[in-house]
Amino acid sequence: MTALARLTDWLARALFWLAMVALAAIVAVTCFEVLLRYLFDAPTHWAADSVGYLLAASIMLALPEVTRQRGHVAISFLAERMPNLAPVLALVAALVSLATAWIIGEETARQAARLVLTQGAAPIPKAWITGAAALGIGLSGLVFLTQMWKPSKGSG
Amino acid sequence: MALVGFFAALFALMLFGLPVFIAFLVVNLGGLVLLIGPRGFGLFANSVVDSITTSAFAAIPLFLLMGEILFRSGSVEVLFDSVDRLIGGLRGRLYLVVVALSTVFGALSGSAVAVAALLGRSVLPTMTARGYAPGLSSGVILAGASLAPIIPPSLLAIIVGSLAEVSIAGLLIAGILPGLLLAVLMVVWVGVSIWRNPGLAPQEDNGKTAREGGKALALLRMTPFLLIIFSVMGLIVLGIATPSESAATGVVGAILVAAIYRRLSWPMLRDALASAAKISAMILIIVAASRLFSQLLAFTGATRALVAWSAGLDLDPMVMFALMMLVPFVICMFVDQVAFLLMAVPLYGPLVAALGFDPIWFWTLFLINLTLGSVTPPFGYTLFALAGAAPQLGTGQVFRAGLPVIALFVLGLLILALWPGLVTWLPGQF
Repeated sequence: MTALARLTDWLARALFWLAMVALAAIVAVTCFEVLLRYLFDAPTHWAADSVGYLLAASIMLALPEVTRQRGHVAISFLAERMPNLAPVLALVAALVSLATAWIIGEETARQAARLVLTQGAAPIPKAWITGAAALGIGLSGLVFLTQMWKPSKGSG
Repeated sequence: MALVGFFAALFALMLFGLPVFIAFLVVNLGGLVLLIGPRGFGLFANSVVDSITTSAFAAIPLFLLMGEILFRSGSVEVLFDSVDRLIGGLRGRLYLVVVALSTVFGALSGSAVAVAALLGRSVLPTMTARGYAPGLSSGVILAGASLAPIIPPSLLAIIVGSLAEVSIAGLLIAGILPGLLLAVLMVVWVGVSIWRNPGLAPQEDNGKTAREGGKALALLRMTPFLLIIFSVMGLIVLGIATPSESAATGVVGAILVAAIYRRLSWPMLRDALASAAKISAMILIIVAASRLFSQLLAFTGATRALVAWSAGLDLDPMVMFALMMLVPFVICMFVDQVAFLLMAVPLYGPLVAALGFDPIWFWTLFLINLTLGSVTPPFGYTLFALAGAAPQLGTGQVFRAGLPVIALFVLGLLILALWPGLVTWLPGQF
């Protein structure tokens, strides 16, 4: 389990850097679009769609790190009074996340096999987005699993 | 029946302490299996992808990033000091400084909880050290923080606008006058409190030690913040940028302001990006996980049944309005605002239309009400945030500090309910 915890920690941090880059890219792309549209009257056809794709990447790639830092919104007053509940909650969260990742992963495989593209002016393979969602939720599931043996707050 | 079942399961899972997004996933996946079977899983996967690629939601991480840059660069401290100098000479001026700061930068941290924690850590120790009453100080901080979901840019307004299909720009602009009204009510409350009990404000703040000089300098130091206001609200009002785009230009404005104050650095930007990415992932994963909930409710016919049932009650619309406001007030004492929002919008949306309420007016009051629930004991989230940030106060004192804030916001809600023009007039001008 320690090896799994080390691996998931490393992956969560690595993906989180990509999430930060995606967020910075949203700022850059959006401002570029506003500048082109209002100063040069030359709007792009790809900026709005790209912001959506980058947003998906930013959310899903940040998710495992949020889980690692136990940052998810939860109503904790009952759990705080019943510390024995923590491993059970971590297990349930892990199973639900992994099942969700499995379901989304299957849809990713189907989209990849059929070469499904996103709708919009700048389409990309939809499996890229769906795959990022499966990756983020799946890795979060593994992080939840390691937290069954780590009852204290994450190291952050 | 399905409605009760869905909500009971969701509440139970949340109350046991499961992360809110996991609770939504359990109910949605369970509902799909029961209602459609495994062939509905594709629908679920696509609802998640549709949510996370909704470009209107990009405003959430961007506004968070803007706030993080301003807070982490220390630019807000410059503003705090400048407002303090400008107001200087008034007894109890730090109370007013908190109100002014909260009003100008209501949503910089993204939520009332974050603002309460931030002001509790930064401003409250200064106030108590200068002899301000901890109770009233806490109350003003709670009230000021509660402006966050109302004063633009408001993250909750963006979520409501997207889910209820109401103009996001309209909702953002609609928050300005109610936010100012509540700020004025706070100032009156502080004034009356000090007038009735002068001991609430320290004697040395009575104009004798207030920094008289430098008001022009203080004003000058504040001017870079106009850049932020222009790059966010100005560009929306001028029609140059959409709310999402204005959030990005707001980030650039915040970077420029930090640079003007010589506080711009790579570590600061990196930390701001990290914090904004984390908080937005926290919020938007709940949105993504819950998206199917409204579709399931519609699929079971529960939404339609609720509208029909409400219509059958034949109550006066204002009584219905009061009931619809009472529900979030009570539930938000226990449940996170975003989580409740995601449950309520699919149910309330058709009711708002059926009752003929102006959607901008209704949802603005709804947002104020959400924030009210989170300062109401015993489980208000904002209360816990302040109690956690200022452990020296004790939970009881923070809870007591919340009571006048509730009265203040209820008064504000009554005024806005009786004079809807205060909400709808400004959006109608653009």
